[in-house]
Amino acid sequence: MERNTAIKVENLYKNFKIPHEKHTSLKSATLNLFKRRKYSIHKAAEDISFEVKKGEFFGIIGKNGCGKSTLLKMLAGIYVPDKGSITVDGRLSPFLELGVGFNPDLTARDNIYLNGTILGLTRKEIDEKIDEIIAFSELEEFIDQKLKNFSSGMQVRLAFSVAIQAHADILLIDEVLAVGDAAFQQKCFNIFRDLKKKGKTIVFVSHGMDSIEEFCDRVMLIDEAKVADIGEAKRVIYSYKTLDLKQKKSDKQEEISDRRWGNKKIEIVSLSLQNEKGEESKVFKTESIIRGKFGFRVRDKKVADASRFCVVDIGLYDVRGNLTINDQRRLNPEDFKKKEIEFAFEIPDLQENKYYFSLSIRNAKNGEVYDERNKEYEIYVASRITGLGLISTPSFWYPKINILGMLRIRNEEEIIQDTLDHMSKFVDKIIVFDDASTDKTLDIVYKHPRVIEVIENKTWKQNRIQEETANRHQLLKRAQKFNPNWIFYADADERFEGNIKEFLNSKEAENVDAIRIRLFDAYMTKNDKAAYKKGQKLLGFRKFFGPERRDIIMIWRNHPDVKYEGSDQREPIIKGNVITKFYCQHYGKSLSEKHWEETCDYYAKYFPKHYSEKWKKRRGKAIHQESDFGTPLYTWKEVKKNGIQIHPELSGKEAK
Amino acid sequence: MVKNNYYNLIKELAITDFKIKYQESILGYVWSLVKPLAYFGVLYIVFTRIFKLGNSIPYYPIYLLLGVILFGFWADATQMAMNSIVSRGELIRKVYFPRIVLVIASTITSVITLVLNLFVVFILAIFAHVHFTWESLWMIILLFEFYIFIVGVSFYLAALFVKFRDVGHIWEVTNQIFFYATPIVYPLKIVPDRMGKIIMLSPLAQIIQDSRTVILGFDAISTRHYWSFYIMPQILVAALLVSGYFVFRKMAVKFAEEV
Repeated sequence: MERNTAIKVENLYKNFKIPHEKHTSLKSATLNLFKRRKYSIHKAAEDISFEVKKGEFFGIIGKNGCGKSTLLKMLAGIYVPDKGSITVDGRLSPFLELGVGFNPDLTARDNIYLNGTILGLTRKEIDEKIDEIIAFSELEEFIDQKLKNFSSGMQVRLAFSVAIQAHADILLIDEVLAVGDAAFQQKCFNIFRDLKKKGKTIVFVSHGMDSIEEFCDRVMLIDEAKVADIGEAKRVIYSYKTLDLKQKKSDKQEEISDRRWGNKKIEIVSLSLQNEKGEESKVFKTESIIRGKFGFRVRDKKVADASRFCVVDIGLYDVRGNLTINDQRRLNPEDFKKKEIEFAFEIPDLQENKYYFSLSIRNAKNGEVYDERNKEYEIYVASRITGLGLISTPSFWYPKINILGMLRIRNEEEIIQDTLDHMSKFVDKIIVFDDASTDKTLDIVYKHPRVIEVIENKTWKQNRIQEETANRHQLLKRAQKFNPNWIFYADADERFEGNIKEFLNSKEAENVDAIRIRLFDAYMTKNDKAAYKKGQKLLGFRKFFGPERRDIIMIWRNHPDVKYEGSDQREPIIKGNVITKFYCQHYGKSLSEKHWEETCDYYAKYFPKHYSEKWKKRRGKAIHQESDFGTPLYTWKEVKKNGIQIHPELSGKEAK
Repeated sequence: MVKNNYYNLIKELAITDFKIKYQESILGYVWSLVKPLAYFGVLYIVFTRIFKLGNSIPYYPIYLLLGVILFGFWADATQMAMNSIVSRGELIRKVYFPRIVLVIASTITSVITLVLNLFVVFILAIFAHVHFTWESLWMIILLFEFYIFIVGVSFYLAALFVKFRDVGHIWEVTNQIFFYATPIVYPLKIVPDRMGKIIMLSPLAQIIQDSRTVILGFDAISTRHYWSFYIMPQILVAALLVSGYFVFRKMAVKFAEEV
């Protein structure tokens, strides 16, 4: 086994014999001694192989009875496999469920000792940790009461508090988050993040796709005792959801005839649906484009003559049979030649669920239906809306917003208050995308009066260069829902100069579609290296700036066509009249020496080579005599006159 | 789980069992003493006043009490051990640890009761002017043998009980027979010599008779009278322990599925 492998499972088989009549008494066992016992075999594992790496958060999903719990029990040594091998490197925590061994007749305190011992703690260790355990469970007042007086939620809290104390390298966790109130669940999530940071290996079985997606590096899908898919969380969750569709479809094979009717004078012979990447799929995200293609055959020549009345309908029905979206177009002579029609439509912001795609060709004049394939194709729409309501529409929660600020932040505890106050001078409302902050940033953000919406990204993903653009796009999509006149996008370490608000309201701005703002990097110098402290004004905080000027589109007129695309895009794609105006001080390189080093590490670690190499060399060089491009530094007043534009024209070539 | 921690688990489980057993009752532990004492009282009256069997034996009350308490320990410990796997089915289905832990823990609970009971016997014996000698220390070795015997039998009972629940009823009946097949209420000398030899093959009889000999200091009929059989009960005890251990280990693999 390789050194970084925590669990290795090879060709595992397990069958359960289920006797039709179980002999739990000697009499029936004796009487039936010479009869062959009848039993059916239930396959719980069939040729299962996989590896879990050290420090990995590994999820197992599947439907009830698919064998995932049996698998976990085999990993834990509770069940012995019929064939195959399990190799485990590291100390395995034996708990699969919370509160194992809890005894209702003992007090909560006694149960902590009992449960703790079962989880492998010694009495001494529990003595040391008991205060911590009790505090975490928030059950101080009840700790000497008998467990039978506890609600199930309280019991889970107690159990979880003990469980997290177990010292193991590998944790097997089965459905622990199913119970407990929201606040406590949040606490558990935090613990999971900690465990993840500490590099523990965790095998996690759950039906909660949200928590699976949030925590798991890799996920394995078990279906009918076999490994159906294994890999990146999102993808496997999707294949889990489609799995459901496949099965449902085969169940309902017979009903399909009811769902198709028409006189078949024109017959639909093929249909395929593709996602935005051009892959055949049954799972689509909201606000993504479904592309489709269908072929048809004309069986009655007379119909072609009446072709000017032929229309094709597409629609999406929800599970209750309500038509949700619908559109039609006329079939033209060109279509009759090609016998194939391509189409594309955007899925609105629908609730996550199954939907039925339907397609029909009919005669609009006499109502004759040639072929209707109604609700025959099931698709799954993956969405962030899981509450009530079928469609999320742009709702006008706020009266018309003129300028809406967008901020994308992560761990900005120090400067965020100043950033929000500063932005408030220019914008009416602010929406924030928080990229999984782990400090107190969000506490400050939520308290700010201008902030109307916070998108919380719970997991921080390593592929930064794509992720940042994708996050900006998500932020923009949300901003557009508020339907402002202008959108102003900024990062937390940027400070602006100019009467932006007045300009946007003026006549001058009427034919402007977007504004590039001239951005200069502020640098720390020998006599100006004091670290920024909470509460200070960041605008004008440093004396010196590099002359390299980046003109970046930060303000634009709201339009549905505006979007972020591709990767590594700070700017959205905008058509129209773009002007250059105003100035921006960028403090990404000069908050403090500590922050500089962190920035170096950050780029070195997560960004592609041309970035990381550059930033690696910058380590330890926070104090500048000249800019990172080797040019002399200027004061703010001078730099505005001596700026050298390096962006957008010279984008990517800036490195020296 | 760390290996040396199984000791902690045994301790914790035994303490739990003990607490649960007595916590809801007002008199608590006292009941575990009152029960054998009441039984002893009945037997005492029956066998001294009605059958007049005990009158020929010196220290008959202590003699009888010791027998009753030792047998009580045997009945209690084997009963609890038999149930130990089944009654903790929940635990077994969810956590892996050597299943033997459960058998040992359940017998430890009975040992705690026994130790407390023996202490009471000791006090009563002093009041009855029993003279303790160095020889009385043999009692420790006898108790050790007794414990080994119980564990060996418990391995079989606990494992079989998972598969066949009738074992419970069978064991109850068996113990009733054992009670009268063992010289507890009657002195061994009233049975024919050959019968006595057979009875003394039983480790149960051997341990009880030997205990009386070393505690009461008088020559109750014990293994000494049957020196040719001297090691037979001990061989039986050892054989039961070893074979029981292997049978148990073999069957334990499937406990989680069957319990």
